[in-house]
Amino acid sequence: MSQQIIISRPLPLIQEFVPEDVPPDEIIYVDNTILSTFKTCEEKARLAYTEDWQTLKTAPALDFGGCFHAGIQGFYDAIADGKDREHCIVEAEHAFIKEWQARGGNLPTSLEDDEKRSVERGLWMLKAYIAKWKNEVYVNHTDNGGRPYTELGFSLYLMDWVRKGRRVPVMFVGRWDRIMRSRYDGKLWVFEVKTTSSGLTYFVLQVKPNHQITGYVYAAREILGLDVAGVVWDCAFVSSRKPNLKTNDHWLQVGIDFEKDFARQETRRTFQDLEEWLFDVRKATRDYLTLQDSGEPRWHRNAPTACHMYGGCQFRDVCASNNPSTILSSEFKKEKWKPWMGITEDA
Amino acid sequence: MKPLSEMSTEEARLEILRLRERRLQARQAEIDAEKVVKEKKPPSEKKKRPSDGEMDSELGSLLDSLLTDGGTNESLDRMLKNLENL
Repeated sequence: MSQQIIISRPLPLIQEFVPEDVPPDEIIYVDNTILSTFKTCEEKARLAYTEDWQTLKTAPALDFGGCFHAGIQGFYDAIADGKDREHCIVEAEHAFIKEWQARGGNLPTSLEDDEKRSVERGLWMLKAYIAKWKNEVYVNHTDNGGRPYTELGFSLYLMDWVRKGRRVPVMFVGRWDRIMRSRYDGKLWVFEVKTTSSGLTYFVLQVKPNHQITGYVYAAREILGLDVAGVVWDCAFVSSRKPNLKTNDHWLQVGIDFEKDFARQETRRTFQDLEEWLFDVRKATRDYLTLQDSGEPRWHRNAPTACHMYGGCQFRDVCASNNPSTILSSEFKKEKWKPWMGITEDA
Repeated sequence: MKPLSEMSTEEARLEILRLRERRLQARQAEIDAEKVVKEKKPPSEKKKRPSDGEMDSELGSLLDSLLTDGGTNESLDRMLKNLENL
């Protein structure tokens, strides 16, 4: 659900105009993570994004996803620099490792570890991904300076909000993994890379409706003025396969099923889809900010549905406890979720 | 050796990619060791084929017994069994 933020390098920003008389710390930022959490469980959104409680536990899925994204960005940036293919693959691997180190090196090293999201699996997945899409129809789309549109942040004006008597802008922030051009018809596509441990046959169907995807198309059209055809939902399966040394298939030797572990699904959005997205996002934002400004100490809990999603909510024990503050102070830390960090500032 | 998280990205990359090579080498060593064990194992004792002289002698005695008891079913069965055993 959360964005796979790359922390090892600052993110270039493409931002819509914000009036100069608004102090930066008064601008309200929301992103897909905040709003989807709020729609899933209001109390979870309060604890995580209003009270700013973040779990102390490491999150291998987020670390692994962030590293994989960094690797792919490294590859396409190297392609744009005109480097030869082998060099680009090495650059991708370096980017993966650099990101892993920047995140504290918490992922295990070997494929044989009980935690499937290891650095070794990540590097081989990266190699397999690049080999799988070697003859892809998409090529880098570059700006006038020849820079590719890879891992770009955006900050999009969503609406105004009156807070403490002042009218302030609400910005919707996010990031495009990359924007590429199809060699078939010259059309532009936003790429959204996803690492998942869900089966891809089912996962690729999650493209529509999908607010995250629709938001990326809307932002690309609004901010960049690009005639984006749609989004390529670019999925990579994180398996728990161990190395199979009894086969001559060199991918299976490193736990990868070359045919099944990667899939892409193109999805388009009509003008009507974008209008509906805008309506829903503004409504969710108004509801969220209204509750935030109300100062209510407890928001609605969507129990039990939300409690068991995505392997279990991190606040499940907090909500079930008679003494939540003890659990919060021992198992969580106060850290503001800053979706704009690295997008409007150099993180 | 330094932990991977403290190595340069190139050192760490090479170290991680070596893991596969080491596994393959270990697997190859296993296969080689199995081959050596098989080669050293003494061949299983096969039933020794009787020599031509032994076979002639055996057939001769069977024919004798057949002629002696007049070719009853019992003697024929015994003869067939003896032939199978040959």
